[in-house]
Amino acid sequence: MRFRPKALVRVLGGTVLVAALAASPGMAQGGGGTAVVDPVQGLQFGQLVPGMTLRVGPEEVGQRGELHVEGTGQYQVQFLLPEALVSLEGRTIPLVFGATDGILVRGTAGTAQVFDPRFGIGLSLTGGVRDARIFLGGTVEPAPGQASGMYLANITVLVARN
Amino acid sequence: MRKLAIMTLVAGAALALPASAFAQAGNITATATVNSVFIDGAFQNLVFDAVNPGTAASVNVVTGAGGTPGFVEFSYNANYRVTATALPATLASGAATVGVAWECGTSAGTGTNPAASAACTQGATVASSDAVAGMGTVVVWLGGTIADTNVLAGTYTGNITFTIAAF
Repeated sequence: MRFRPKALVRVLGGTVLVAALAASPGMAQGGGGTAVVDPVQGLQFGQLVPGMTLRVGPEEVGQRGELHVEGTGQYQVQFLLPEALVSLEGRTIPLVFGATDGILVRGTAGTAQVFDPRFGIGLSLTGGVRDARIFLGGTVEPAPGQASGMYLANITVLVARN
Repeated sequence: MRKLAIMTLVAGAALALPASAFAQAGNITATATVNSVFIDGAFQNLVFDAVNPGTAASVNVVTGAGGTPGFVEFSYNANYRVTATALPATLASGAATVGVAWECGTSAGTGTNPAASAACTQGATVASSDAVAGMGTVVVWLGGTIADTNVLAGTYTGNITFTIAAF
């Protein structure tokens, strides 16, 4: 099931934005133990040229988004993905996510598991593995006449115990 | 801060996760910066019609009467300021010179007559905008008047530079 960002915005109003600016970790009881989601790094597209699409892959260390999840048990990870970056003036740049824009790594030496962030992924923190890293990429599509300026959007990751 | 985070996760869980599950939310921000882009487009030299000694000559920047007005075209996607960075006080033919007074104008395209700019001296801002919403075009036009034409015969020239930059 895919989350619908527009629906979320309607429900949460300004709460999402405030939470994003604070970039605070979420924490809740996860049955088998306490789990924590910590933002590590935002998804950074850097300097864009109008009319030139740019993709940041989840394997690009300096630019990919990154979160750290710690806990014990079986979880489902879902993303609330924005459809555009937005400037302070309300201008937008389409932001799209594809089938290989997510990478999940369990533990410190786990195998990278590519996934589609539009559909989420199951996360098993069992068998001595207590944490995981989630990497996120994406693609921005500035228009040929895109106005200059700073654009941003909030990405929310939800981790729920199965 | 904790209260805000909890509000987020509860609403998110209600959308797509089982009602009995405890969900955690983490947020990151996606960011990008779009560069300021300025493109030098078409240009046209300013040419006075034949100048007769003793008679002032001018090219009207708005109507083009008296010769061919010059112009330079810029494309932009950011708030801009066009400055007359080089606007000489004289035209020269070898060692001989003739004084010239400039007129500047601006338009959004080369197919329309420009509106006269207030200032047209070296270093002056001849066009600007602080409400750019995307790619646009500004054309800076140039005319002028040669008052003292009692000079040696010849072709008199000068180099003019307009510069566009973000602010």
